[in-house]
Amino acid sequence: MSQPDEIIHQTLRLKIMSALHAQHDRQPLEFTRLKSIVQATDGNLGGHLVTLEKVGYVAIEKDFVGKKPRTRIAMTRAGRRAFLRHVAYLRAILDGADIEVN
Amino acid sequence: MGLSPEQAAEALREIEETRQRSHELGVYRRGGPILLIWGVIWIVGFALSAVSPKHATVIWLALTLMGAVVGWLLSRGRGNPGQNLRYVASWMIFLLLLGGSWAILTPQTASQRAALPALFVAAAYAFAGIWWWQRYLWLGLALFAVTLFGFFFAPRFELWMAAMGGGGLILGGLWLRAA
Repeated sequence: MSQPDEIIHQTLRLKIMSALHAQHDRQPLEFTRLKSIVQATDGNLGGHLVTLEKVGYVAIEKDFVGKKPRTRIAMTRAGRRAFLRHVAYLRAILDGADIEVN
Repeated sequence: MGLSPEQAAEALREIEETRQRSHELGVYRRGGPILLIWGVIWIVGFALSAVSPKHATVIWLALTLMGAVVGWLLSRGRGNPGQNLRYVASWMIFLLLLGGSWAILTPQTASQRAALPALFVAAAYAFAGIWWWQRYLWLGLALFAVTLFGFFFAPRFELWMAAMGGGGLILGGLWLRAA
């Protein structure tokens, strides 16, 4: 692979994907908790999640706990593969592998 | 578009920082309920010890055992497989330290017997905060302050510890859970 994943590479989306990837047993993360981890505002986080959902990297699930609405986000298989590919690409650059570097 | 090594290094740093932050917040979320339980245990233990000093040892043995088991139940099955073993090992070391200090220092008064374990708990939280999870440092320092202030200035030290120590742990637990 000689190109970064443009969707993932954006700073906040990279943080979102890192946080989801770090989840034990691939458990979904609640929106509020994800917001704390990536330190973003509601609007900013929501916008980037929509972008990630459109390309199939995350799945967003909305439900209710009692009367309280809850939004949970999980990384999809495609998202996991893309994230790992992107990390491998980044490491390869540092390792001086056969990758075009500007 | 390719990335420069600097950009790649920066991106990998972001990934690692996010992973660490995610882990740290996870520790706080799991630690909050355990701290809430210990807050209740401190309130009950110190209050009962104040009412019935003769039975303080039995009261604290029973409550400590209960707290350790409940803490284990709440934390098991999460994190990596070595976590349960480390939990038990940490308790063994803590009890060894407390038992050894108790045998050597032989606290004479009820206040001394109450203050010594509280100071060890404060130290354990502070060390955890210095090395890994910062919020525990503030909890440890607050416990030090509450314990030392109460020991030297409070007229009824055990009741002070029930209210301020136990209450402080409950507040700390809520603070961790909200992280």
